[in-house]
Amino acid sequence: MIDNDVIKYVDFFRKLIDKSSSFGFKESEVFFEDEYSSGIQVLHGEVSSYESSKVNGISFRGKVDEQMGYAHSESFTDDAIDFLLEKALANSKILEPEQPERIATPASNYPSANNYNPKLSELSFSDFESIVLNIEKSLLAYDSRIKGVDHLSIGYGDSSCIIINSKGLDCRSRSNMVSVYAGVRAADNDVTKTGYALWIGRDLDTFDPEAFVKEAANDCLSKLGAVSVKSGKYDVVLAPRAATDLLASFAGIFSADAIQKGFSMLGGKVSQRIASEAVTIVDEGICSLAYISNSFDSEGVPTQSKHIIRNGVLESVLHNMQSAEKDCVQSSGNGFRGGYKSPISIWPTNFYIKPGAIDDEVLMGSVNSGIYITDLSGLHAGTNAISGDFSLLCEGFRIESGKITFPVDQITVAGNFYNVMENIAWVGNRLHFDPPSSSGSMGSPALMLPQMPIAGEG
Amino acid sequence: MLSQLTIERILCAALLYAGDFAEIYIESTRSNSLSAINRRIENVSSGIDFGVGIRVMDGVRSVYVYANSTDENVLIKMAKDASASLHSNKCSVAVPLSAIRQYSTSAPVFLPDSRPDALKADLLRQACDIASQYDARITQTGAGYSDLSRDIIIANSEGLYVSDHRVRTRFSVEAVATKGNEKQTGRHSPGAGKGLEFIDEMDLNFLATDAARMAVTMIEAKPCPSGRYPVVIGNAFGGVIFHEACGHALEATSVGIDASVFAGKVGEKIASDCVTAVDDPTMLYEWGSYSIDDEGVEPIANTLIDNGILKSYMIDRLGSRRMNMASTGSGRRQNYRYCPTSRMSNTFIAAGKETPEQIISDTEYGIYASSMGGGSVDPATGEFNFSVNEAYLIQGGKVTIPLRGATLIGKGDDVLMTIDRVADDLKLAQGVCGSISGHVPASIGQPTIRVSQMTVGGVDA
Repeated sequence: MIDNDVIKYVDFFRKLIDKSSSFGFKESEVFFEDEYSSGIQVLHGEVSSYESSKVNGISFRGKVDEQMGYAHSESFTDDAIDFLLEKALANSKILEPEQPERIATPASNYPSANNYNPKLSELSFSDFESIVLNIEKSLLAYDSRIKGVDHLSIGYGDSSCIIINSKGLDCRSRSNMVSVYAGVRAADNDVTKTGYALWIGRDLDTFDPEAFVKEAANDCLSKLGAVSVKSGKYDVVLAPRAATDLLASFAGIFSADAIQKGFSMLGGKVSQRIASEAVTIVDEGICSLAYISNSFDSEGVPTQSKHIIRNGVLESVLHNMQSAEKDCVQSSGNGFRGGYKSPISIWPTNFYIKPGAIDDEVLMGSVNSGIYITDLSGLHAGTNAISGDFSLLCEGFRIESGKITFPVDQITVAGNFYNVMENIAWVGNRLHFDPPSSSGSMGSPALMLPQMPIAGEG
Repeated sequence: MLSQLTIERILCAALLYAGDFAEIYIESTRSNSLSAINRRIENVSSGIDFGVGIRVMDGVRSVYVYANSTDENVLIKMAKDASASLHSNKCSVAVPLSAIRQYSTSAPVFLPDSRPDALKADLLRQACDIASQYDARITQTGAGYSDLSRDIIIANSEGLYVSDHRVRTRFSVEAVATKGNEKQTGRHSPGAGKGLEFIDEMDLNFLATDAARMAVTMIEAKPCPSGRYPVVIGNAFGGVIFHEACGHALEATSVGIDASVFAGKVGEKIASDCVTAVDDPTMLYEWGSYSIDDEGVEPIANTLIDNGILKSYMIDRLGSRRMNMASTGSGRRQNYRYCPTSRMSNTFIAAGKETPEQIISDTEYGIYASSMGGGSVDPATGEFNFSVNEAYLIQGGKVTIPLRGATLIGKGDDVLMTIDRVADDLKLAQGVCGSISGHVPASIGQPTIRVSQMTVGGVDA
């Protein structure tokens, strides 16, 4: 499955690992990523930009005297071998982790994942052009209030990962994907609003341009005429997309490393109730509901499917090999890297709140006076992952007598994630998944948070 | 790196089928980073990045291709493919390159690799120690060091052939205070376009102590009230308000396609009279400075707003074509993986004449946001949000109790008009700014200012 022009690098990895013993390394590992991508952007009825790339890089890590050293390179020359070994050796002398790091022995079994569709790799720029040019036309014709499609793009990515170590481990994976994004701007009575739609998939036959155009247009148009509301406490329903954003900002608290270092307040909480009974969270390496499945993590450990929270009770946390050894347990297969430039960290695979059984519309009907929040902004700044506090700009709709009445903007919602988990009154039945990133893929249904402080007018 | 002959061949190939402009950007970067948690060195890494980006333009259409290959045949094929994908009949020819002009944004006294990493590790431990000894409520500490040494070559079909050497160093210290179930953090992360002399010059004791002070102050703080109040915003990081709310909307990226609230408003009044704002990449050794931008253009100290009147935008090559205005030398990119676009460098509100004390004593009731966190903005609507790391209540012209959990929201065009006071204590702070051409080092700044009315989001509704 892995391309021949990628496999040719394996010789370089073997040479590097072989030479590492002469530098004193007792164990060593190579982590390699290769990515091909191409895409186009459309603006004002023509393709405004094309982009295409082929890049790769390698991380070497090796152990001398129980100490691990790291170095990375985007160059694959003989000089690079010496650079990697010299730097990793020097770095190993400074590193002083509380718990020594280890290199994985190969597992007997890895779950199987299929993330590659060979048909996708045959698509050309001209296939892409017709799709997005038509989307722009349809969006501009959709409603006279739509003034521009400022960002419209389609992109293809094909990435491979290889991990080889001195203990005989050899893990390889490949995935590809197409994404379509449209950012729309609409104006009415001198007020401008923006909205977007994003589609990700591995089979373009399942892409429905009409539904996509409708989603992007409505995301924007429905916000026109928005007003602020009076400051006070409101029942808040977080739409699936907004709920996922909030979960993603705080998923780090479930990392064993964060718990061990005191950066999460979940220490000693396993088997205890930390959320309302409506909340069940799972982390699934292989997940048919999400965009990508992983059969192994960045240490070469097989991924698992596990409950993190079951009916409000914390059942397990996420481990890599290092944190697991400290807690005298097995790694949960969550030792991921943000890429070859990053050290091993702990990230979820497909991490999501399980949807409930009752329709969102039925549940919404029970909200007497509240706010339906569709978008949360500034999550990188307005959330404190350590304290759990958040205070965020949001947009959405007023809910009155169980019905959505008018759009709302220029308000903030504030709270604390730990308290929010305890107070979730119900979860919806429609699950949203965020696109995968180096920090895992998150998903959530709608969440109802009673009596949240909203700041708006006066 | 590549020879002049190879570069000329690539530029010719890039214009073979179509295009009126071709450019090549070659980058080689060495970097080191160390981080400590609770005085233990947890991460150390070093790396070499190398890559080449080739851009072909045809009017306002462009192709960008990149790879980390030094193979001439691979790069020439990429350049030809790029040219072919433009589907245009217009062809042009590359002008032979002039002699290379070598710039040096940084003139490091001590190169990053000139001292053993063990000394840098000692500094991190010291920072952790100072912060944790500040107060018994400090339960966790962290510190980080990173450096980058980058060499770039830029050549284009107009004959431009330049190189630049850039060195940047950054240090960070963080303290976490705990009380019962609650945690609050304080942090400083200064940086400069300098070598190791930067860490020699910085005041480690102040940085670590102040991070701890902030965390301890905030752990005792009351929840911030929400509503609309006058807000006094402190200097340095307070400049994030201008960066997010106005700076991004003055970049050609959004102005050039009419997707900015400030498009077409040069010469108009967009801010109150007391506001003058500047983007200045020419400041010596500042974090966001450069001698040439990532398109090879020498930048200017660019006055954006002069006493309330919009004077200029930040413009790159593509923006210059779209807007029919000259480049201001604002084309920037994170690295070879990004096509350059218009970005901020060191962007700040200029100093006024009052003192911060006068402004506070003239405020009967309001919020004093003495230290700002990050934020974001939608340039099309001007809607912004940013978090406050350290805030206080102002009562009867005096700063009283500390407040936490505050967020400031509003619209960029509104807030510029409602800045009613500007003090004389201009100071810059260093950060990393993310946009479509990746994350670039950027300094922000301002003196203490007052916004007459702003929506404050807090926990205490």
